[in-house]
Amino acid sequence: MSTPTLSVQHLRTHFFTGAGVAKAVDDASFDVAPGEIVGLVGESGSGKSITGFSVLGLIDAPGRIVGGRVLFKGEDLTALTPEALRRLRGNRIAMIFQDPMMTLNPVLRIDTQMVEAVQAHARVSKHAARQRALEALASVGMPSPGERLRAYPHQLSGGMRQRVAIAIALLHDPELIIADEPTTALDVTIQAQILAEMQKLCARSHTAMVWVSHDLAVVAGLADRICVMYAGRVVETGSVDDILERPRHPYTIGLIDSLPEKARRGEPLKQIPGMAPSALHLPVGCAFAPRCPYATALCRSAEPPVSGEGVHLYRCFHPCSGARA
Amino acid sequence: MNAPDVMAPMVEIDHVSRRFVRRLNYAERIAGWLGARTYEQTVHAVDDVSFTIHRGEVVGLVGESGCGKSTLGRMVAGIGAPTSGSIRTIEKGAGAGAPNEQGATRAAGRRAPRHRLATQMIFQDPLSSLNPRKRVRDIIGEAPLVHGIVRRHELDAYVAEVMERVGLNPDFRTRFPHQFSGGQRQRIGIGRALAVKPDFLICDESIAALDVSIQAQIINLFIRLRRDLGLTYLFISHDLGVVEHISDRVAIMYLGRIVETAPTIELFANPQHPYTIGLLAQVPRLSNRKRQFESIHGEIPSPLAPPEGCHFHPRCPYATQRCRTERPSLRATGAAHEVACHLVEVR
Repeated sequence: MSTPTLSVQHLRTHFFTGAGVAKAVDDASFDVAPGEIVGLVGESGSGKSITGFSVLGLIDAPGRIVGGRVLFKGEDLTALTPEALRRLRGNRIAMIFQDPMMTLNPVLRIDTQMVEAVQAHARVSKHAARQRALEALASVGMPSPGERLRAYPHQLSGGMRQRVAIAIALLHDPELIIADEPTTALDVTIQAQILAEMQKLCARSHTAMVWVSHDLAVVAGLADRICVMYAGRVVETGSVDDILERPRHPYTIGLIDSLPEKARRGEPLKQIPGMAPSALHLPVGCAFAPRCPYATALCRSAEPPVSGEGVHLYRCFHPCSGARA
Repeated sequence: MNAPDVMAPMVEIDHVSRRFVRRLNYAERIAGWLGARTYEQTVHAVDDVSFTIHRGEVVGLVGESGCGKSTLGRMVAGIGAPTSGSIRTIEKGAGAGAPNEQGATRAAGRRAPRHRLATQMIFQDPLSSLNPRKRVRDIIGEAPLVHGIVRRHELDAYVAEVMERVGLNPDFRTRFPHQFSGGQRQRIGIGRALAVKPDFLICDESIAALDVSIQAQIINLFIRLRRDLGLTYLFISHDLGVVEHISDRVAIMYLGRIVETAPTIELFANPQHPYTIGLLAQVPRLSNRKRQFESIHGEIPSPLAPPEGCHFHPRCPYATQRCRTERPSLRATGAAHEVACHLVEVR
């Protein structure tokens, strides 16, 4: 097998706060191959966004990557100098955030920002940079891109802003895109448009993508593989069909079963009791044990190792048996 | 549990419109006198909507942002009067002859008529809708005390009862909202609404801000409360999956107008308005793996300048000349199924 574009190995990102050490990411591992879309799914506080930020070296104090490696085409990003990382970011690795206003400067026109982004990594004339910006906007399905280039961010709708943010991410044909809930704030019809564009782009340019989301249904339609995160750990990973048809980890099963789609209309939904633990006070052993119906004394004392075969891996002492109705 | 008489109307929304006008400021008025083209901007948030909610049913009101679903919900709750039209709440037992005109009523809190208490609202963000400086005991207990539903010496027991009903530990009654998690805060908001013994709850995106596993807990709470108390819900949401699960009937809104309404099963099995068809096709579902996303083209037009005729015609693949000029009205196409589209019978 060829080297994966991104290989996250035993990543640990901790935040050293006054209240104690918050283990936001605690031993997360996954690979992304060229042209592959991996969905990183979890609830708030599961560490999925921090994992994305860690890959790009965007963790600020009091946070720190305390262990593990992030290999980009075999090169360890955690060992790079800030300057070397800066040359990679926005160039070979791009990020798309949930709120496009986090990416866009509200007082600069779109063309100013995009030309600047082009010239930050490529020695080209202003005219050529503008042309590249125009092409990028057109490639994300922006109607009348020439006109939009002269607009300010506030003159665009939320969906259009997100398209601009995506176009900026695509300016340098990145080999890896980290997308952090980019469609969560958008309406259903606009979300569908953006998902369609992203799908086409990844297939066309063989870009690897990590799609961070809380929405299993969106990821089911978009991704090739899914990593389910809980309390800073990847608790289960596998192909979309593995995860949705044959989930083994009780948390994955609980997550899928709690969707209205899986219940009979008007009947109560299956719910996971309790709530996710704080990253400051993770339980000993398996972090899901206090909410798990199958937990035993072993689960509460020891951390379950990674088991499974092929690409379908899970961390559980008592995995549920395969096929489900 | 008292069996709800499903056919009795409870809220009648009659040709309701709500316009928001941005008045010109001083500089703009001077510019206007000097000959500049300045005009007041009007948003037609809700545009001539007629709709009836029956006692004991759960109505889902669905639409994308800016379609006016929240404005409509707030007017039904009595927050803001309609610009034109009327919303009538018909009390239990009373005939249609004794309606309460909400548009005209401006009752002081202390003498709020029974129908005002009977309609309660649950908001999207529990943190911003709860007073951060009040204890849960006071958040839940204040309204029933003011309205004479409980006496002061019974208050503690009453608050404990309400908290237990919504799944909160009564031992936490002296805590402040920030000491709770998101799901628990939403339970406090629901408890506050239930404390005045309403029979109609308006839930405005009440679960949108919650995590998936917590969403399921709150949806289950809504389902249980309906069974136990015979409540009626207006469930406002953009999430079609949730609406499909808990609603008896669904109304789809687009740019201030209801474009389609039908019983839930009928609507999802047999959508007729082109917007509804497109919307349903785009709902992400677990069963749609690695699919090709296809979308309704274009964006929602600005409510400042909605298109003439049918609001959906610029995005509609079937639009004709008639759609561009004439507004379609809601017409029945089946049992309780109404669609506002010129082309429905033809197609």
